[in-house]
Amino acid sequence: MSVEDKKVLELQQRIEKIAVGGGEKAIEKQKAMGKLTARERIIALLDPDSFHEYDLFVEHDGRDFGMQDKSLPGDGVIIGTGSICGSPIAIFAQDFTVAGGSLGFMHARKITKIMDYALNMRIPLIGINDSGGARIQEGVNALAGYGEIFFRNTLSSGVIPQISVILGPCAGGAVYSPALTDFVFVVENISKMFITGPEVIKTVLGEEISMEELGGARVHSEQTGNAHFFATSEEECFGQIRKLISMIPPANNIPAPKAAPADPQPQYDITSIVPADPTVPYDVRDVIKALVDGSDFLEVMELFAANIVVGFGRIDGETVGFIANQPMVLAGVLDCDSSDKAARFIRFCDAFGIPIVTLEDLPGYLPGIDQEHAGVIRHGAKMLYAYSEATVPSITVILRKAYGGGYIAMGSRHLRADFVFAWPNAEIAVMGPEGAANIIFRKEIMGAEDPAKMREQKIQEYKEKFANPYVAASRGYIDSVIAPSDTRKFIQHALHVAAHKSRHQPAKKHGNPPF
Amino acid sequence: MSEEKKYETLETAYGTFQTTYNKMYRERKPWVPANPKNIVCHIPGTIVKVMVKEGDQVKPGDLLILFKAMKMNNNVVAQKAGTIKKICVKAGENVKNHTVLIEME
Repeated sequence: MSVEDKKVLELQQRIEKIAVGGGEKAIEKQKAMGKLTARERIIALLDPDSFHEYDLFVEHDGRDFGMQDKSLPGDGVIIGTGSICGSPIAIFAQDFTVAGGSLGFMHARKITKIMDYALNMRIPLIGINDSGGARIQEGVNALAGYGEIFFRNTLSSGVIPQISVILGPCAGGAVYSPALTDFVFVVENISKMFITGPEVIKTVLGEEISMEELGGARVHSEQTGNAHFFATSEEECFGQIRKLISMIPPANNIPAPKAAPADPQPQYDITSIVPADPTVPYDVRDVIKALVDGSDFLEVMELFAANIVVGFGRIDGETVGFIANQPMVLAGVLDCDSSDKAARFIRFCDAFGIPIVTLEDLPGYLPGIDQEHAGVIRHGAKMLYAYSEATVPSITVILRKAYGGGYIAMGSRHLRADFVFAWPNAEIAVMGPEGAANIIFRKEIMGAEDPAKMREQKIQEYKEKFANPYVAASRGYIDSVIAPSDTRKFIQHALHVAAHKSRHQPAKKHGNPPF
Repeated sequence: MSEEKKYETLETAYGTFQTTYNKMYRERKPWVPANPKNIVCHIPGTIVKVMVKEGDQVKPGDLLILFKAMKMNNNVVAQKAGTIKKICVKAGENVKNHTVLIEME
């Protein structure tokens, strides 16, 4: 055996020793919780044999509370680069089998190192979170580590896509790294996110709640809006991540991967999805599927604020972001949550150069004391801001209703949509015909012999005047009134025409959106 | 794609629409106006000491309760003059957010 061979053998032994992580017992525990190990996760997520690891030999530098005598393999986190569907990505995965995946100074430095790589190389960053929290033996050094991560999350925001995968606990300050990233993936019964856990809540407040009920995958997908993708298994979750990576750009100055163009599937017939009666609901996702290549639509935040639908599809092989009112849920109204959801999605698309298509069919904003007190003014304003700020190609199609403030908010011409189309049955009005007639024709109605009959007559009059797209078209607010069957054709052409669109915001440090 | 479904209705300023409710909408709490006669806590915590008794006359600024929350002792003081009608908590008690501490008249 040559000296080189000896050294290589020693290297292999060193690697093997560290690569097992926290050892058999800890791995058994991890498996008993239904979880894969950090290394298994990386291998399952990335293209085969694509993972290259860095900082395997990093050791922690804790010197207090007996930590100086302990060796923590890899300091509880694996970092490296690899590829997904052939595209390079950077990844870190916290290893719960090593000291509970706790975050110490060197653990954080490994994470920030791979974050710096990702930003400098302009490749997406994926972070797999599975950690008990700060390594308390390291005191403020652990907190410093979190701060360094949050800072880099913010620095990278809008430059490279950042994806957080919650595959275990993610508690206390640790939650703010995922919260700062673009997409958060959660898995039922595995993901747990909260600022203060059930134990603290029980001690301080005497209220008992399980981890799952407090901050489980479903809670964050349906109620808080912290999570963007919900899965029932880690495998399903990895499939969702691969799909997303295949559709979004690797950085803000590089276009999204192109796919071969395909026609929508014939079972989605755009002419038969939307009922003529504006009060009858339908699933707007069927309209999206009737428009996108292969009827393949990747919905984002499917379970949160389902009254608006957002997600990615392709048209002629190019990725497009869709924002659509969903008449099937809460009649498709705008409210605090749906405005938040749409605004954040629009800003992602704009930051990464993805054109947006808006499908509009809504009866304005949700009325209610709870909405007003929850700040629907502030939240609703986010959407106006996001549309107005967006400089990517923006195409709006009014499918049916566009009433009041909703008409303005949903990517209207006035907020600088490039193309606005409407179907012939579209109704655009400043308010509902009943309310409008009562105000405009108050004198006539009150002075009439039969006020009820007169009111009905005036409502009809108002409807005939405004319940169509031609008034807006006569002002040029709508570019073309189009047959539903021509919608894909018009969007294709508009995207083609707007491919090299150039519109710039006035020079500024940054705006001040109503966060 | 379109099976027969039973829908709920939603009233808006623009008329009534058939649709479905989501969880957040279904579970929303009705608004209850605040009762100006109740003294309510706005943070969960522990009652350290009750400084008044029922029937006491108080004037604005009088100390009513010493209330510990988030490791801080807070003074709960009377905002306006009145009589203590009922004291709803006692020293040592843990109280949840929005608990009525004292009823005044």
